[in-house]
Amino acid sequence: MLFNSLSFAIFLPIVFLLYWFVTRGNLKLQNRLLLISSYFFYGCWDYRFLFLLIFSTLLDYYSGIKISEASSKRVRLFWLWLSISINLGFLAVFKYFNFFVASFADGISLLGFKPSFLTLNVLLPVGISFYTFHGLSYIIDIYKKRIKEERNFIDYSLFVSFFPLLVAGPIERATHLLPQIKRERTFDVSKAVDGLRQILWGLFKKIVIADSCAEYANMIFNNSSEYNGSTLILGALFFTFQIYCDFSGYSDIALGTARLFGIDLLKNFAFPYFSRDIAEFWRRWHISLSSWFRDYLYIPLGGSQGSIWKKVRNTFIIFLVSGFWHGANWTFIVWGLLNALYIMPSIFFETNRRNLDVVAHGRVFPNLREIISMSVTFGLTVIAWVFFRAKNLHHAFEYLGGMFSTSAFSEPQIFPRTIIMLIVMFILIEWRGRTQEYAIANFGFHFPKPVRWAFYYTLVLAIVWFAGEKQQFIYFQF
Amino acid sequence: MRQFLKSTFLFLLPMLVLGILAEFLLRHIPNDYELKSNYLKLHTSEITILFLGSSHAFYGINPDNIKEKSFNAAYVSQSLDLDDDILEKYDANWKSLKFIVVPISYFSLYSSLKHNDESWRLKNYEIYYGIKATDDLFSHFEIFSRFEQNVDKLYLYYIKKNSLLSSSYLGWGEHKSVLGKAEFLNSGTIAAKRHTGINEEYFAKNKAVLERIISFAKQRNIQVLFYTPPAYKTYFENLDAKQLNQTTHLMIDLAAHRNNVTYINLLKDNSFDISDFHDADHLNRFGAKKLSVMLDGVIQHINPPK
Repeated sequence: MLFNSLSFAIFLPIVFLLYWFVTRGNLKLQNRLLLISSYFFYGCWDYRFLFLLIFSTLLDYYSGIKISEASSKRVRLFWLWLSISINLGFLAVFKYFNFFVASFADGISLLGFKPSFLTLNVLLPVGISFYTFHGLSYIIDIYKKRIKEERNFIDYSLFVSFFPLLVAGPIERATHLLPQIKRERTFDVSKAVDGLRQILWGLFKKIVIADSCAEYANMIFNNSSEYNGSTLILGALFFTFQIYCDFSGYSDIALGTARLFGIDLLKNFAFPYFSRDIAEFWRRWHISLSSWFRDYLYIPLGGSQGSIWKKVRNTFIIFLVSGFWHGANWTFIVWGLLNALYIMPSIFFETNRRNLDVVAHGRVFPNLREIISMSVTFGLTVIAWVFFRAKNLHHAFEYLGGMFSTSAFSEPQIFPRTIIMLIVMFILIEWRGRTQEYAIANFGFHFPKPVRWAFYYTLVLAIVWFAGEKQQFIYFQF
Repeated sequence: MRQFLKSTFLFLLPMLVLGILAEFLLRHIPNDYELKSNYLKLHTSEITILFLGSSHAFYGINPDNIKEKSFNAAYVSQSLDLDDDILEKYDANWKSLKFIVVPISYFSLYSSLKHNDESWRLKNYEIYYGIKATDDLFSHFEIFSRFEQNVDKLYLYYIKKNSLLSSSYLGWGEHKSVLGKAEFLNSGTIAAKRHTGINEEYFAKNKAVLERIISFAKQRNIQVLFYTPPAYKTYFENLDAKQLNQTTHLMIDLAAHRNNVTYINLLKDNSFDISDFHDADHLNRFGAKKLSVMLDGVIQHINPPK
């Protein structure tokens, strides 16, 4: 059941009405209803994967209790590593097994052997990377005594499986979500209206911008050898906006949906394409994953403490793991390493926490320095996305070769004016709303209701107009 | 809460009203699916020769050129499973049927309307034929089809007063436009590329569908004529040899082992030249006449009139 499907448009109001009317504010009933709805939502993808989700939930729930009850460090460590190994084991089997086998086979074939290894013909369970990370953060937090174990199985299961975040995040923390699950929730009109507005904006980003860009990005990337440099640059730009609007659109829908049930999820995007350096970009892009890696990998490795080379090593490790988290392909690994390289100047010159505020705060226009730094950061990001989108490394290098050839100065073979106009309009709206939670969070608050509604109807009309074949969200594959 | 629901309802109300109105208006636009379904409802028992298949048959077979009473139930992107569904749908009424004629194009065994870009057409089988073509609840409504296309349809029919029918009374489709030479020549490569893609799962499923059609016919003493329709060289020269061979081998094998099955391969038939084609893989009215007469000859040869 996709967020941009009509099935979800029926599912959501039904759950919403049951949640606020039938449960009559009874917290236990509310949580049970949300859990059943979440399992139904997940089962709609493939009911067989429900067993895996429930097993993973049971494992972490039980491990959490065992860790907190253990009297010795040895037992605590045992349960911690048991949970980590089984969780990562599932990831390894479902997501990485074939990659490792193929890479190993490729490696030894270079030595003249012709190996034939078993590969698994298995489907990747939807959202496995996301719910595994939920579980891991919970277990590690208990081990580190940052939180207490959750003894209510329903509440814990809901923390792992809450349907708005189940398949593509944001990757929640027990410290943030569990207290909300345990707290009584009453209906808040302004929160619900804000939720609906954020869902509308998310759908607009996904259906109008991302899916339109996808059409051209796919066409150009899939036939890249037939296009000149300027068209390839356009293709990379289309993908840059596709992936942002696809994923941040998904996150907006997830956050808006959760808000309808009185729950606030972690913010996942904060206008990353207005970043002035790569460090800022990574504080604004997929925030829940970046902060996960920061807290559970970077800091335990020593973080920014120690010598400069230790910082460099730690940075490369988290970007390598982050790339690998996205998928079992060398393109993701190179994408991660490239971003690590990009961030090196900030590490060496210790400027990685320079741009913590919003760009051009309190001003309508950025200054020249900000324009240049934003453009350079954006350009570097576009180059990195080529690796993310390419079929393989050869394709990525060939594509980049085309982008940086002399034909980059010729006229593009494809130039969809409508889509380009839409992107420009979208950037302007995002720029205007860059200090908000999401771009249209306070859009038109001072306008009369009919004008505000006319704006919302325009968004709805655009969504309906552009709605074609439903496109899967890119991050579902991770 | 009440205020929230009231505001949400008021916001959605205009869309709901417009949606219902649009559905009503769209369903009242005469269309090819409705025309074919209505014909079949009334005349199934009289049809002697039934032509099924995709656009290759829809544009390629004109029942006016067939001696016996025939009907062209083919349509654009109609895959073999839907051909089978149509046969089953009117099962009780095929009283005069002697021949089922099905095109086996290069892509026929490797595709299904249920799983390709044209799957939006499935709703038409649900709405107008009453065939259960998909589990998707929304495929029972016109308005959930492409919005832009729906607006076009409403505009063309209700404002411009144009007919949206491309099918004749007996189900033959005639192209409304003519392609330029460059477009014509390019069409072969483009179509060949679009139609290429070996999918063993679809192959197995479509093979099973063919078996079903053959046994359906056998039980009712009906002959099945499979044919690979003619195409222009820019199309067939760009086809994948493995996909093509797998298709022809299966068809030859079926014809050899089933006594109610005949197969003819007209893909590279010399009788068709450039003047017979609308584009590299679709016939125009002249080509359609030629193919219809040719198939009629084959039918008469297999089953001469008594």
